[in-house]
Amino acid sequence: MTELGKIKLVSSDSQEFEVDREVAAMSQTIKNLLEAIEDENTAIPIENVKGEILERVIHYCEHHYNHPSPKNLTENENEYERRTDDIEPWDQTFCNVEQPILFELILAANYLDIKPLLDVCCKTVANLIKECRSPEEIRKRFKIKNDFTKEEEEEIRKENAWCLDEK
Amino acid sequence: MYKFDLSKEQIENERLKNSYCVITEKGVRKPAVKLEMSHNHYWFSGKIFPSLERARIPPKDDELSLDQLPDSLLYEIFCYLPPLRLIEMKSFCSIFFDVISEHELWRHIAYNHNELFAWDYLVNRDKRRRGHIRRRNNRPNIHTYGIQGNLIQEFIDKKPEQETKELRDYLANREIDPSYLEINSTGQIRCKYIEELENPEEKLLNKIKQIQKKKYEIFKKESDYQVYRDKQDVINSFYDKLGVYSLNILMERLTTIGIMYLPLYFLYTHRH
Repeated sequence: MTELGKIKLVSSDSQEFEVDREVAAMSQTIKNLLEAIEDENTAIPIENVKGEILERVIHYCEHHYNHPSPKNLTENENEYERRTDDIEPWDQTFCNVEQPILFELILAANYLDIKPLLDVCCKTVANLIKECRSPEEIRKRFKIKNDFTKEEEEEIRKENAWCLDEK
Repeated sequence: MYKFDLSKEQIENERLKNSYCVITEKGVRKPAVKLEMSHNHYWFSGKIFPSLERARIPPKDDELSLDQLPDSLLYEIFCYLPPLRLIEMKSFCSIFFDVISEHELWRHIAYNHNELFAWDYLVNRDKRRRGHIRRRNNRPNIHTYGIQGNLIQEFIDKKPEQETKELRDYLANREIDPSYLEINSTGQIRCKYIEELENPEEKLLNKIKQIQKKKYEIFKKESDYQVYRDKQDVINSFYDKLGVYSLNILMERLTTIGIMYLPLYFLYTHRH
C-alpha cells in the first residue's frame, strides 16, 4: 500500500521506488500510464531502466520539481539554436558521471520522455566530444571501433578531403 | 510487420553479425527483425525505412557506449556539434556515418554558430552558388565546396521546394546583426557567421540600406565602394578647398578693411 499522493515504480531489476505522483508525472511516459491506470496502488514497471539509473532519474525529477528552472529551455529554445554552454551548475554535477551511466541516463530519459533530462545529458556528451582536440582523442575517449573496410574508408576520406587537413 | 528492402546478397553477406530491432516513432522498441546484420550503412539506412530507426542492442554485461545508442539519440547529441567535427566523426564508424549523412544533420547544424565556417552571401550573383560555406583557414584556393563536395552540395544547395516550412519560417524571421556584415576583397558582402545562412535577400538588402544610412561603408561591390570613396574624396577636397578659399577671402577682406580704414580711424581719433 503506497502513501497518499505517491506511486510505486519498479525498475527492470525489480527495485521499487516510492515517488510523489507529481514528481513522477514529469515523465510523460509515466504520466500517460497514470492516466490509464485506475488503481493508484498499482506498481508501475519501468522495464527498460535499471534500478541504479531509475534512482538517478528520480533524483533529477525531485530536484527540478522542487527547484524549477527560471525558464523552460526546452519550450522556448529555437530548434536551430542549439547551445551547450547553458547547462545549470546542478545539472552539470548531476551529469558528471561515468560514460556508461550517462548513456544509460540518456536512454532512460528518452524512454521515460523527460525532455529536460534528455537535453542536458545530450549536451553533456556533446561537450565531452567538443573537449577532444583530435579525432583520435574522440575515438579513444568513447572507444569507437572502426568498422569500415579499407575501400569504404578510402571512399569517405575522398569525400571529406575538401575539409580535412591533408598533409 | 515491417518490411526491409534488403537484397539477397545483403542478407547473405558474411558480415551480417548483429541483431537488430526497430523503434517506432513513439519510442516503442519492437523486435521486428532478427537478422544477422553488419553495422555497414549500405544495408540499414534511413532510405530503407525512413520512419523507423534501428536500435543496437548492447551485449549483456557490457557497458553501454556511444555507438550503441539508437540513431535518434545520436542525432540529438550530434546536433550540438560543429560542422567540422561532424565531418570528422563521419569517418569513425558506419553508425556515425549513417546518422550524420542520412538524417540531413548538416542542414540543422549549419544554422548553428560556428567560428570555423564563414558564409559568403553572394548578393546579386548566381543563386545556385548561394549557401557555399568555406573554412576560415589558409587554403585560399578552395572557394567552391558547394559544387565540388557532393555532400555539401546536397546540403547547402538544397532546392527551395525541399526545404521545410519551419525552416523557411525560421529564416524569414531572422534578423541580421549589422556587425556580422563585412566586405571582402572581391566585393562580396560577407555574413561572418553561418547563422545567417540563406537569409532572404530582401531582408539583407534592407539591412544594408539601413547600414548605408548610418554611414557604414558597406556596398554591393568593391568598385561602388571605390567610386563612393573617390566621390567622397572629391567632395571632401572641395569642402576643404572651399574652407580655405573662404578663409582666404575673409582674411583678404579684413586686410583690406584694415589697410583702408585703420589710417582713417587713427587720423580721426588723433586730429585734435
